[in-house]
Amino acid sequence: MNYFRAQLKRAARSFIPVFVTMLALAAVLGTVCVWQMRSRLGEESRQKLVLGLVGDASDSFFRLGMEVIESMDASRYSLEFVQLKESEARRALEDRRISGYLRIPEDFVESVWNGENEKVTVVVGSSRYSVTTLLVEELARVVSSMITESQTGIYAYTDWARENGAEDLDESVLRLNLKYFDVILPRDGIYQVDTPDSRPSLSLQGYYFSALFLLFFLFMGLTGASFMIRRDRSLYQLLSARGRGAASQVVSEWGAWCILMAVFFVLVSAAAGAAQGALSAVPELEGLSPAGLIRLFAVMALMLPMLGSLHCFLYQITESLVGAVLLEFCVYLGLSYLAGCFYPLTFFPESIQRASAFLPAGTVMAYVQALLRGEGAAAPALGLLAWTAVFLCGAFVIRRARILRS
Amino acid sequence: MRGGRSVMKRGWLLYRLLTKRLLKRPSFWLILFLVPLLSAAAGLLGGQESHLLSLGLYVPENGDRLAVQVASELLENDGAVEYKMFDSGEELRRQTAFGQIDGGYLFPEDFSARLQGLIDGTEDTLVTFVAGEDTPWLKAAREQFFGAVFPHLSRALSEGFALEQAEELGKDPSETVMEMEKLYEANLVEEELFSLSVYGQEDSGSGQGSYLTAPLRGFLALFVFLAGLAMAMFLLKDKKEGVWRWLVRGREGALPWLYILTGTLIAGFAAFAGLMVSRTGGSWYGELMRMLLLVLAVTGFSTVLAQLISRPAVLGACIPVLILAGAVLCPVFLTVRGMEALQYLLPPYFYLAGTGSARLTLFLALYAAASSAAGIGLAAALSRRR
Repeated sequence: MNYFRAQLKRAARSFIPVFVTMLALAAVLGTVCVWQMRSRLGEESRQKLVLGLVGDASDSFFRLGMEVIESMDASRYSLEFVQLKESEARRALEDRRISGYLRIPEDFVESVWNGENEKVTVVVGSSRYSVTTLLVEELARVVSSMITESQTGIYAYTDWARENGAEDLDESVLRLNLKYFDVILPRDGIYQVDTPDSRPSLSLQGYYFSALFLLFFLFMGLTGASFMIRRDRSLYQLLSARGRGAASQVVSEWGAWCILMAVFFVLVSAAAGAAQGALSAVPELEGLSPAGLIRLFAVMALMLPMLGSLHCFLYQITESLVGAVLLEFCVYLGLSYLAGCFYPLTFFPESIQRASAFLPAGTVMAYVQALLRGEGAAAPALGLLAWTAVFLCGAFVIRRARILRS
Repeated sequence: MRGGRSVMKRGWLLYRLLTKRLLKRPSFWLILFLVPLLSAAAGLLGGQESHLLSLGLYVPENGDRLAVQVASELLENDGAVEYKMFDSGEELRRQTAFGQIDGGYLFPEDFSARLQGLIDGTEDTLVTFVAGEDTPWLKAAREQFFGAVFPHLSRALSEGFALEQAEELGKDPSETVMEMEKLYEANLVEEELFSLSVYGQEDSGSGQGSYLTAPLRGFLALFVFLAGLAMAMFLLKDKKEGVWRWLVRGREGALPWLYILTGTLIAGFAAFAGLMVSRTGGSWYGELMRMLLLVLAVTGFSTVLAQLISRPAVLGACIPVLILAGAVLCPVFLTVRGMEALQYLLPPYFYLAGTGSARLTLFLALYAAASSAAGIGLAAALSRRR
């Protein structure tokens, strides 16, 4: 008990530096969120994919086409085109002001008239495999199909009309073109959208709420270096000689660290509760009474012992400061990535989605998400307990080996 | 001359000593192997079948041939959307409601007739699209659906137009349909109108990967950044414990910079290996050069920080904040606009934004030179004052 009390005192001494760090972390996250939201809400071009147009856009038909796309096409709410010189487009792409640019070859429209189809080059940024690039690629494929199929239809009709001696061919072709426009431009209206009534699945906001909580308390481990790393190992031996073995030492340190985490959890929850506006953005929390919110956060706190034990275990593996910080970073990043904190888990292959539920961070996500959905969280809670036991046992084994070795 | 050689000799000795000190620790080796290993695993992950969206398709049993054809074309698609066939529309709706799929298309029994109606202007809608929340991804997915339907629409549209004319010309409709089918096939343009090019990698090949491995380069850059910051904290600890005074007798000069370089360079090599084994990088020489520049930039930045902050605990508190700032402000996952002044201060920014750009790589080199000069100059000035 004395050792636990001593650890509590050490944890209390760490409070200010950890608090300052966590506050700064929250401030960075908050500033960026507010900044992004303000700048996005201020723009009409919110969520639009901006593409540059480079090259021969002087043709009046081409200009007309672009104007039609910008003012009448179904894509006008998600796409924006800007006319640029190649050097400007390169610069804009480097600065990530545009998602890519289209290099229009000389006499492009004429080549399309003649059926020779000079290729338009879609230049995307160096993040070749980003989600935005994938979208640009998909859109380019669809637009390509629309243009070439329209061409085929118009050429087929022209050939047929010529063979059959139809009159006023130019006017007919123009009418056919307009028919194509009539079908293509309002294409987003061909769907009768049906939204199923009951939707107990998690909203995107709820998803990121659980991810943010996990990230915040997972990466809190990085701030524990001064508390967890002890260069002088003689204390462990001394304690062991006095009958306080490895298990008791590890549990005392873990317990004190968990209490420190719990203090921060209360602070973060209180701050989140105070910022009602922020919480109301999460549909799952909307309409919850203060008592309901307190109950939810209290149950959510079950993730802390597991995360605390993970922090303890990792600090047992490495003895050096540099090694510990780097190892923690790699493990936290890897775990949070596989738990779906950066990309929704559904983006991953099915095997990873299944495995993720059994990994420590994935268990936390599953637990918090089950609570948000109002479903039973017994299975993930058991997973949390199991992982806590595993990490504590691991920390105990390493500590014991150290005591025996020295 | 002799003095300069002696400084260089002392520096080299210190460099070897510090590197040996780091490499003596098994835990450091563990991390050095862990980085390429995790990167390779991420590379393998990227090679697996994964999708941004999962959409369902339901064609009624008595649905027409065209609906089946469009659904099969969508099923064959191996792009960002995965399609699954459903036996009932209710099951598709249920799975959408429970979030097991992102949405789906319910084809009507009279799909062909509706398609014709759409052309004639007698129908407004073609299919039912089931979705919980209409996201930009779903909007993009609908473009893909239209891309699959459009060849049939185009064929029907041109045939219909020819049939209108055939009536005026007194031609047999069935004959017209046959002629138009033949002409449509003869005029078919199968070549894609767009070719994709990756900026800055037109000649060198862009490596392999998927959107799942896209943030890997950012992770590795943050790892190198963290290694530099951790080395700076290690330096402050050594100073506090008196080890530094024992190592450096006399003026410090470039020695703090050299100290931080030891660990950062090793981390840089681990990150470079990670980039190569995950097959997400470009040409090895280009990647190596950029990684070396990042290492120098991080070393310079960390040296400046180690001179401005004297207490290891304070620097320790700054590390998570700087890493988070790096993760958010540098293009690892997001593109944050309007915070350029802060972004330019962080060493990974030019490294990540400058992939494939000679201009930004030059900025990275300038950053590395300026921050290293500032770090060395500050260390020399502070050491003289002491």
